[in-house]
Amino acid sequence: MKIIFYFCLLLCPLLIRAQDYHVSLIPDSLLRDADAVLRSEELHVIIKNTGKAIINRKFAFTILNENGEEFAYYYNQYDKFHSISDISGRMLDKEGKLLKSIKKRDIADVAVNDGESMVTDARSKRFAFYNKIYPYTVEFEDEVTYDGTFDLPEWLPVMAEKLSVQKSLFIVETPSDYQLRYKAFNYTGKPVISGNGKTQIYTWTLSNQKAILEEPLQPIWHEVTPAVFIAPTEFELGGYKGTMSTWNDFGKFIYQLYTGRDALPENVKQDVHRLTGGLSSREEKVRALYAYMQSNTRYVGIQLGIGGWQPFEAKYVAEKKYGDCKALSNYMVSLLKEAGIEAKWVLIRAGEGDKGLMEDFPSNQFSHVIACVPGPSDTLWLECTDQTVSPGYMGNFTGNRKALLITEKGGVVVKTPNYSTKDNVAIRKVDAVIDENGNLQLDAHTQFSGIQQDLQHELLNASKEKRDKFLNASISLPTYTVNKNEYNETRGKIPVVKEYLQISAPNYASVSGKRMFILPNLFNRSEKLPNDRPRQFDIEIKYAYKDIDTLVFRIPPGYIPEAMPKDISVSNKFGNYSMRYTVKDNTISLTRIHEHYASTYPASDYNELVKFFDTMYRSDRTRIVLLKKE
Amino acid sequence: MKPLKILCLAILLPWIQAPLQAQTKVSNKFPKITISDFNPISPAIDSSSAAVILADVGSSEFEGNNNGDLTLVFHTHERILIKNRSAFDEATVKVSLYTGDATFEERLDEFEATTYNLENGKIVETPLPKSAIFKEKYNRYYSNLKFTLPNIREGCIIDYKYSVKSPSRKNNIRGWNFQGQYPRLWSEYKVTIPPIYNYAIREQGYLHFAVDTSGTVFKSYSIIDPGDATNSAETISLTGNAKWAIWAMKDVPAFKRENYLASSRNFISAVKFQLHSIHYSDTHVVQVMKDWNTTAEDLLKDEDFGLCLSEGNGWLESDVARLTGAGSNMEKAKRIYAFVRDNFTCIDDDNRELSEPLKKTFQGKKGNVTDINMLLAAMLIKAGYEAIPVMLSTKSNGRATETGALLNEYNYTVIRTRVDEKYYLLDASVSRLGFGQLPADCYNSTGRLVHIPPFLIKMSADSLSEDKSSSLFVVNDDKEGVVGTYSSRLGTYESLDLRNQIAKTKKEEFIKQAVKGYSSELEITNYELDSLLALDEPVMVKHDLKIKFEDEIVYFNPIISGAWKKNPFVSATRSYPVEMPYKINETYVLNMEIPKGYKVDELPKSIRVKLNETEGLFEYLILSSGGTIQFRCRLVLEKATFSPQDYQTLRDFFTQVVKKEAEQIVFKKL
Repeated sequence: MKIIFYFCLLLCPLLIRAQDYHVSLIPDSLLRDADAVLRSEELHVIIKNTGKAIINRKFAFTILNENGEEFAYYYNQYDKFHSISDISGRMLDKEGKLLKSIKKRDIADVAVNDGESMVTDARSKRFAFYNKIYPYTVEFEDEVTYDGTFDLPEWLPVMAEKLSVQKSLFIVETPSDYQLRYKAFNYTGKPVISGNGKTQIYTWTLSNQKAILEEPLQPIWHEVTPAVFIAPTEFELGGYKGTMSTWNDFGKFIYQLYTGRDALPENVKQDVHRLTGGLSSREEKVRALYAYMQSNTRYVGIQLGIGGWQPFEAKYVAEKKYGDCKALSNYMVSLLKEAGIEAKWVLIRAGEGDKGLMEDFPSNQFSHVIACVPGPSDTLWLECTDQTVSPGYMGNFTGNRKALLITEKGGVVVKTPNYSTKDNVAIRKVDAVIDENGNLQLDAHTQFSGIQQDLQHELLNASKEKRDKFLNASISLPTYTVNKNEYNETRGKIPVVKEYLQISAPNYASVSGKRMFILPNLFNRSEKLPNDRPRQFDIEIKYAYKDIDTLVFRIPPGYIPEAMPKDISVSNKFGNYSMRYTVKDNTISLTRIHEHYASTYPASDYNELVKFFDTMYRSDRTRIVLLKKE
Repeated sequence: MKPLKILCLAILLPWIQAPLQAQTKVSNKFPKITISDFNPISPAIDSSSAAVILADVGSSEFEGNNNGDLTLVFHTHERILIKNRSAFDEATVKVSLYTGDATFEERLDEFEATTYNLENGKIVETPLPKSAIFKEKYNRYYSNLKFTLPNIREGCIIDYKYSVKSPSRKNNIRGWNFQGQYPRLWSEYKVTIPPIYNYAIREQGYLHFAVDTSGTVFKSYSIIDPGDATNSAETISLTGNAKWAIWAMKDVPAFKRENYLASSRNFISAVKFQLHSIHYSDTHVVQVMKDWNTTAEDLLKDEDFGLCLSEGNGWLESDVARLTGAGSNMEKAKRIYAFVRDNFTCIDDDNRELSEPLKKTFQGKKGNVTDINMLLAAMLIKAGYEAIPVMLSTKSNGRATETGALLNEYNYTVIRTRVDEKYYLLDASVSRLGFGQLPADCYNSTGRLVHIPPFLIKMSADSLSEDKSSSLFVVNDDKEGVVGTYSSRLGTYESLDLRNQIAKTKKEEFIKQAVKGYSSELEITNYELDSLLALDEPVMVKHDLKIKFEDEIVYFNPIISGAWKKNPFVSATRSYPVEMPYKINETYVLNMEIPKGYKVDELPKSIRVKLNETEGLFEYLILSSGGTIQFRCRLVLEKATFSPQDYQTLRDFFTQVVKKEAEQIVFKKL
């Protein structure tokens, strides 16, 4: 009785009784499609005050097979604002009997390489158990102390596909007068809230969640699995204080970190005036200064301490000619300011397919910074870490999403440009000659625009060696050589790249006796969508485009088509597709048009989409058989 | 680039005595930067060079230290023209230093770095202060020093130098590559070795040295012995003729990576070093590098290698007894092999020494490749088998010298055992490998038996053959129409790949994907994979099929699976040999009843193509008679390695294969 009382007093779920991890205790439904099972998890966030939080996490995975091994490792990061203590762990056999425990000296302490930054102060603790006898269970526990509460952990118990969850708890403990904000996805009901006058405790629970399999074109992960995000109202970070109950407040805090770091050295000021003095329009000036920034800087990531959040001064970038996204954007804003043009910093979530910030939940959701020159109708967005991109073009990386514009009056939610089927176009014209041995010679002229030009833009800026290597490996012809390649770019908000390729492909057409077989659709073949189980999630098509391919083949004299494929034309809610053939004298022409819309569709539309792709798949691979006249 | 000749000498001692003008002063390669440096002219530069190494000079020498020993001092000086932004990464430099132990800590010194830009016809210098070096403690043993040069723009020149002092690396003079990703106008390396050390030196590559000379110079090294509780500190002076050597290359073209090249390390021009002996005095000589006999004897006594095999290893007793119960010699050996392979995780496949005592590996269930295979050897020996370690250098590690025992050139250990008078090579560090199989990466010319006598065993890709045979029988069925059965016995490595894929996905997923790979005119049913778990056997793929015969004209490719659809030799030209992982021997047979209601309108032509008379064969033989079609297609490559001169022939050969294997039989309705 006394002991139970003691537990109640502490209200401390950390001290769980030694749990039984016998695999027979896993319900069968959780084994289906699973590589691992999260047996139990307690993610316990104790917010002491605006400046300090303690995160204790205890979790156990049963590893069912080799593919589940990614969950058998312990990994956590720390840096100047986060420290890790009390790492413990053990490995159990399938019956739950102890095989091994972590020894402190076996925990590796390794610098973190994020793949982008040159220097960061982030480090990691790592540990791995090794076992090839499945199933087995690993259990870990650690504690991380947060200095500052700008960022708080999220709860995403189903952290990957093919992982089922037997039980997971998310417990957030705050002082009773603390204003915790939270946002849940795919969680039915509300958190259980309890309090004792001093502290308030919020608990979210997930039990017996079956494993999920990823599907093509599915929404982002936290929209299809249970997730809870939490955020402070008042917080501290590296000695700065702020509030974030509104985006306006969040922006005010960021402004505090960014402002007053715009002084430029005299020589750069002179450059600004020399470059813009003779120009009249605002847009011309922005272009000139953007080109100046691009040719005078490069990306070097240095994230140390508060430097992870606050940009280097413009002066520093001017001297070193490098910086990270914050520093380069701040430098760009400073250059524009010197030319009398008002520009702003914009915090954004970068990455292909990301939708940007959750507007109804102000919190730190950002990974990147860009610059923006606001205008009534001609707002220009400037990516400052890319030394070749056109001014105003965002592409897939930062386009079509909500972001936060930082002003002296606070943050404002803005939307970056969306690129439609009109913008993302590839128009290809191919002139090809096939000789009687089946050898193919062709000239291909293609005009790519918008997101469709991203690859060609990269090729244009790559070294000749890389470009040649790529071109000679990436085209789906059996044996071929790209004899010539030329690229021309027209910069703009919607950049355009023109590509010319001269290709020879020996034995492209297969000649058997009096027949010759040709696969005429050379460059643009759509793939199939898998359809082997019922669709679970909505279909999200994030990227709209239009392709027009026209190919004209001159066939060797004496040959006539034995059979020509039928023309095809399909139009539906996903887009439209047509393939038309014409035969005239000794030429065969085909025109392929495919327009693909970006939208969201319910899961029930999936079969129709699969059918559409199947139709295109077959049509794109249709053969033409030529027959030699006797 | 034309390959000149393979220079692969192992120059062993004694050193060539230098001519009288000994201390050859190599001209200073770092004069003041002038405008012409921004536009260098050299046959090595082509339009695709994103950067040009104007000069790349290094040296290794020794100095006395305070620990009663010598410290290795490495100097490097680089001057690079950055022509294109894709080479901006050259401006960020990382130097990894050993910092695990205060006494032997490595230190970076004599640092200087400057960026030069040409602005309005004038050269503008931007120096980088030493304070701009970031230090990152990577882990317990190593730290990374990183610096990035300022003011980098297309067309700038960066110039930096530093030295690294290594008190603990005396046995390991750094090698030097004269060739790399970018062209080098001048690449030079100099070593000066104190009289007490003798090094074995190996030069490799396809290119000629512009300078290749050596000599002696009088040197004096002052070493302070710190002393201990009983002896006071004292200064020792080591004097005598130090040996020096300089190598340099001029106008070195960039090294371009090509497919089917086992390791670029075998072809990049380089010099490499290994300590041969230490002459403390005339009477006290420590032979570090020995002949293979002595080396093998030492390795067998070395606790980091072979000693564990001659120890009792009583702790293995019960497990070995459990595994060897009943059965033939072969069954028992296979059980031991499977036990080690299936229970121990390999966490490092690039190490020729044990990382810990065998017993620890056994308990921790993990180890490097040598730990795991030595454990296998120990268990085999315990069970009464012969088991001899075979030391080798994998393809990714480059080829080892066969003559001298240069141990640091080796990175892998496998085991040779004997069962019923037959030898087998075993590797238990790789999951899903069969008994008697090794990863293709091991077949890098030779392996060394660590045994007395220490024979060299041939392990050439040319001795390894990937054999595959497939057959398809098609008949008319009254009810079902045109139906058939297909079966294919895969080669060793295709079987391994398939097993690895299935371990990653699932058998059902794999089959779904495999079925999708067939032409849409075929309906595939009853897809089965035999011997999936019998790892010593090749995988058998089997399925039934139904062929759609409806249209007026039906085109049918007799090779329904496994055809070469793309030429494996993409590039139009080749500078280095083609090193395929193994030889090829594929046979495909079709036996087909002509579908009812159809006649053969046209058959592809039969052909037989030879590759250089004896090195390869492609046969495509087809005939139709008596209502059936007989077809046989065979592809044989009798060797795996081809010279660059043979490249065009080889590429043309495969063009033929791809072309022929795409051909169709044409059936017409009667």
